[in-house]
Amino acid sequence: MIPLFLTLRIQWVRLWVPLILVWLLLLPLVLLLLPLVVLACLIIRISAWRALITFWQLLGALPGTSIELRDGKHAFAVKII
Amino acid sequence: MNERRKEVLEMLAAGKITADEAERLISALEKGSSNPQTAETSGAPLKATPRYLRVLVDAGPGAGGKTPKVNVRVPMQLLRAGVKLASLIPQQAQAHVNDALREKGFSVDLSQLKPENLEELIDGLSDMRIDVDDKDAKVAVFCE
Repeated sequence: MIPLFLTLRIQWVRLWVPLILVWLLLLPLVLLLLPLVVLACLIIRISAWRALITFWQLLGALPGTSIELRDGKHAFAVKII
Repeated sequence: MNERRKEVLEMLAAGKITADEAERLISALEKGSSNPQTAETSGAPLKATPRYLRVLVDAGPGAGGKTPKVNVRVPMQLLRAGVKLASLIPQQAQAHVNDALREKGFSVDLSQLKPENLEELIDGLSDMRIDVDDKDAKVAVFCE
């Protein structure tokens, strides 16, 4: 499952980003870039299908990732849901 | 002696499993007997597959009154996908990456990193725990 939401905390600011909207906005761009990606894969002699599958798996593996950094004054946290 | 433990020792004696595997099985049996709810009814105990790799850094108080803390959680799936991605790197680029890694002191050959060996790698990580206890900081790397 691709990430659907992102929670971001910078200092006291908390943001809740619905990534699904980002994916919807990026979809036309991805479709436009797809032939170029396939061409690039052919040039560097790797399987375009395998590359796309791996990229999809990478995207699907992102949910659950969490990074929190804190010190006395600053705080930063990202969670991918 | 417990019947299952005896079976493990017999398998070791017969050369069906290595000493390391026997040790892991026996320790899993001990865990299972100390916590009967988690013991498998079918016989061989199952080891819980780790889902996340966690890195905790706690610098503790002292550094100018600040207490820097780092808490990173990386899904194992991401590691799996990362290894698959590494296997896609073209041969010429792999040589460059290997050289760069060697310069930094990591003698890793990316071409030997195969998705087929991934589960073994993840299995090995489940037993891994790194604890660094220093007077100024504590670092822990483990799987959960």
